Amino acid sequence: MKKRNTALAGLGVVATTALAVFAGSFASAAVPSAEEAAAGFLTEEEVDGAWRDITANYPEALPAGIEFPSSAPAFFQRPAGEKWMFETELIGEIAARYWRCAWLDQDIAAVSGRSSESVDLTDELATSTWQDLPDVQLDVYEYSEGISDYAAAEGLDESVAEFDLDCGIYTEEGAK
Amino acid sequence: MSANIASSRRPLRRWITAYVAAALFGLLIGIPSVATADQALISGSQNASTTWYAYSTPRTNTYGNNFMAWRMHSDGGTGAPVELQLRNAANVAFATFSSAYMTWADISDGGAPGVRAGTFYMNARFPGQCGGSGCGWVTFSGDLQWNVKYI
Repeated sequence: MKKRNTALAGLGVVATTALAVFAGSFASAAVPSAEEAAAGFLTEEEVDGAWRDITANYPEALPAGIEFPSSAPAFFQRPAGEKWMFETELIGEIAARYWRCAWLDQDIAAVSGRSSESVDLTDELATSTWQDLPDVQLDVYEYSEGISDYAAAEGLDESVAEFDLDCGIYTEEGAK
Repeated sequence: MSANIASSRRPLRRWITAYVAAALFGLLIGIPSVATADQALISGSQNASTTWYAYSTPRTNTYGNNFMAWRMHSDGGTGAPVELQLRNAANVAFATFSSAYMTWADISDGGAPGVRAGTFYMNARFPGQCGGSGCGWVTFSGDLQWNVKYI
């Protein structure tokens, strides 16, 4: 009897562990209600308005002479015939990237001699400034380390490496 | 009689103890938020349909050529693999892929094996099971590997 109970307890451990592992794999993915889930996304028709809302009074200035596009950039324009929904925070993430790339462009221009202006971009290029912008999902500190490693491996200036890799959102070159 | 009751309660208490311990153990090892720098168990909630959902979390490949792979854990009960797409900061969709349940699928950007450096965002849809009007909100999940130096 004792052996059988012990065996049952052992079986219970195995079965419950399996159940808990299975349930645990969904722990961070609790299914929200349809209303909760839908609230986290914007339709294609809502994107331009959201873009204008977040860029109208942006907390950090763009370089002189540079403005945010009046409607959402090509990143949000998807192929005809497809239907898209965009996670709300994606608007802020891309706006912040646009801001970042505008200042990187200034930095590269100054270093390359393309710009005659001598400017101190310490504040604008500070990791903390970018990290604190609205809805930035990127871990900017970790990202900067990665870009630094990439630039060193490829023998590139860090600003040039970052701009070439991730500023198509700003130049819209290659957008499709 | 009382001895029988006692002996029948003791295994029950032992079983409950084992149950609680196992549940805690399972939750500890099952929590998917724990991840290395280049692998994470990710999930997304969306209406299962042909509509693409664009997610906001950026991830970055920092090697000249990067190994990437995806392994589906849950299709949200739709019975069809979730289809995923990667899009970079230049708005170029450079990989579309899916995997069978718990099977790793390598990801390529279409050139040489692997994926070039840069930041990417994930998009997802369920094209196989539900029509354009969808079949309700579901949560999918799976493992993503990225930023692994391709050798």
